[in-house]
Amino acid sequence: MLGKVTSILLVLLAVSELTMGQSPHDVTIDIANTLDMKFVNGTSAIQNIALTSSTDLGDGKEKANAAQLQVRTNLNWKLMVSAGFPIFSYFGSVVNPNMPASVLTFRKSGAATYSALSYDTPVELATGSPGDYTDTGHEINVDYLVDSGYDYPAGLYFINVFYTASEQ
Amino acid sequence: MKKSLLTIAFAFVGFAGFSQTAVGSHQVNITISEATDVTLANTSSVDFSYADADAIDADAATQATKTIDIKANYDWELNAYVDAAFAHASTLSTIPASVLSVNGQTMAVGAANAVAI
Repeated sequence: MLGKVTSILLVLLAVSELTMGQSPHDVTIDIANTLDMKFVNGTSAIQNIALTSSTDLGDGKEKANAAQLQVRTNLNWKLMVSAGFPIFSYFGSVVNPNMPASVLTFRKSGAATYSALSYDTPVELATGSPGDYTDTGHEINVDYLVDSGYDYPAGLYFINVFYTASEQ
Repeated sequence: MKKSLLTIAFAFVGFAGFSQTAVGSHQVNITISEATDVTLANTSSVDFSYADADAIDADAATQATKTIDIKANYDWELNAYVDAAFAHASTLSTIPASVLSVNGQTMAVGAANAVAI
């Protein structure tokens, strides 16, 4: 545990050539653990995905780079994804059909497969080592894929997607 | 002195145990429109064949079966109609559409006369 706190003690020895005296002093630098994350390229805004045809319902509708995040930290970190609620909220002409969060799937851009969004079980999206926002591996792009099939009626569905960065 | 060292030690452990977390979220809206996908599995012609008088008297309903696949995200009904009376291949004579029934429903000419099957 103590390894997590980096404490560097520098002792500087000052020698005066003129006075021949010694006047050392200690410089202590305490570096705290720090971890920041932010959305970039406007992706903190509402992301709209429209399924307007039988093809969209049958095959699903993808939105690439729907979320773009950057992480900076002096820790080894991981980024988890979860839903704010188990089902989508709904505005439509029928009783809420309780479309589950899992209808929205996601992947780190470039990954082969999508994972289902979950309220109960956050899914690990990415991991990394210490570095700044723009360092390699600290920018994470996320694709969304909605695969509702024909099970849900016409209407507007919405849900909050949470990204949590924390120490590994 | 011992008490002071113990206090410092606890302070370090407590700080090191503090977990760093950053959380962000955004809203995702999904708009779903009404959509249907209707596929007639086999589009080949349906032929009714009457070889003799007995066959003409018989009910030939079972001689043809077509499968229609329907996908929809709303409650639906399937209607059927024919576009014209049966026309003889070489003469001007016709047979009325009503001789044909689909799922027990008598056919009529034109979309306005479609019946639910």
